Amino acid sequence: MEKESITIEIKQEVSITLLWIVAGVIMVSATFFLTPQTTESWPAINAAGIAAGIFLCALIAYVIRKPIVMKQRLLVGIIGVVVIGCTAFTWMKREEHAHWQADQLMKIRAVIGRGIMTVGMAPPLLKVLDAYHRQGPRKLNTLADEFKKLYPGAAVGANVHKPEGEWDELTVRVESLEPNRIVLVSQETYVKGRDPGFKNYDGKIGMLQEKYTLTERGVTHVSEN
Amino acid sequence: MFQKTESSEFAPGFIWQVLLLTAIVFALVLFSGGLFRSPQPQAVNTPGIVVFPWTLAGAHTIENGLLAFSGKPAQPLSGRDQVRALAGLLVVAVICPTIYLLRWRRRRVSIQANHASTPWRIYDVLHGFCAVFVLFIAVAVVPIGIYAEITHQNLREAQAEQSNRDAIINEINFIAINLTQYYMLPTEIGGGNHSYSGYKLPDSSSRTQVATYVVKPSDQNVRIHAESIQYPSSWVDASVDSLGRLGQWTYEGRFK
Repeated sequence: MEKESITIEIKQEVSITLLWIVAGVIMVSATFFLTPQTTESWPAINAAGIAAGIFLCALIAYVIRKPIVMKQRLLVGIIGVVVIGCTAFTWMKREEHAHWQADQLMKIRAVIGRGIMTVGMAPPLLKVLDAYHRQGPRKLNTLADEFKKLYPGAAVGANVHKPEGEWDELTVRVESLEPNRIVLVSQETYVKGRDPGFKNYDGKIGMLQEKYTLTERGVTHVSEN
Repeated sequence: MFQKTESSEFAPGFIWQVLLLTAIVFALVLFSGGLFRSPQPQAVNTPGIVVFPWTLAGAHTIENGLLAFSGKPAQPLSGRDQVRALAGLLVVAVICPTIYLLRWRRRRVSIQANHASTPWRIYDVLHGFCAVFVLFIAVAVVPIGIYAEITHQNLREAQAEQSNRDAIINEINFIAINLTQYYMLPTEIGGGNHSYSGYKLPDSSSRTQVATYVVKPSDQNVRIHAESIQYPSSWVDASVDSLGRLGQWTYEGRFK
């Protein structure tokens, strides 16, 4: 009689183990797959992590209930809280760190973009300036004439940048081509600038844009966005 | 409360059910690479077995950052990585803790009741494995968290230094442009007429938010010295030749 009752008790305990595992697997998996899957993986993984945390808390509460002695209840409870807390902390930090690294990549891309624009616009304009002033005090050619010598057929709106390969997507547009004032503008097609509401030269909104203006007194630069 | 019994400790097929479930999850973790091949090679490599799902999510975020860097659209987490992340989480947070903690409770209750532990059985092999795994995770998670935070801080600091150096280089480039046009312009309109002599740095350029700048012009070249404001013992030196070319870059202090 006693043996039978023990066996039933053990079978109950074993069934409970299986029940906990199945409940936990369903709870965590359902939370993971029911969270909308977007290009951002963190929401689903975070939701599943929270579900797993709730499951673990419930499991620990179940495990340390009476007749487990108070000392052991406290010990397991504290260790459980510390481990779950540390895991949550590390988890959140990893998320923050990953987003920070991804943001840094775009900041680096913006720095590279501005550098390429400077190299693409300032030296040609300085060449024009040099050619213009080399004429001496009696100038026959205007800045625009010298610019057109460097870029034959250049007109307002034209892209004067010669790509160095398929990867080279830089465009340098002539915004203004007056006899003694030339304005070049270059913008990124997908790298955001400082002001998200800035209207770019090609009609896009919020993209990085740099402008160089050449007059007979030299080159001036404006980082527009 | 519990007595030693000759009857089977487990419900019929329980061990096999638990073993099978564990084996399936482990198999998914171990062989998910073959089952769910990623359509494209990934730039960020992750270990084959992923215990902590944040490893995959972090790698995916950086992968999308690299795609954005190249102007390509972000991609969702692949089916393979979804299974890997979920499988790791299930093993770490559900299966192993459940088997370990419930078995631990049964042994504690049994010891309290009989002053003797229950005998070891086949199930204890699985329990032992789960115990090692759970304890390993519990012990490892604290140093992992501390190490990750230290690494993060170091990386932030290194990035801040690099950004400061890049900003100084960028400003030196603009000073070089200013110098070049000074060199080209005739003296009548404030230029050097093919000489750098007499060049003075505009006030707005001699001290910016990132550095202070000093130029030492001679007839055909100029030395530019930039001292970081954020890192006072760090500086950058460069020179501009008569063609307006920058060269002889020197980095000192934290920029070295």
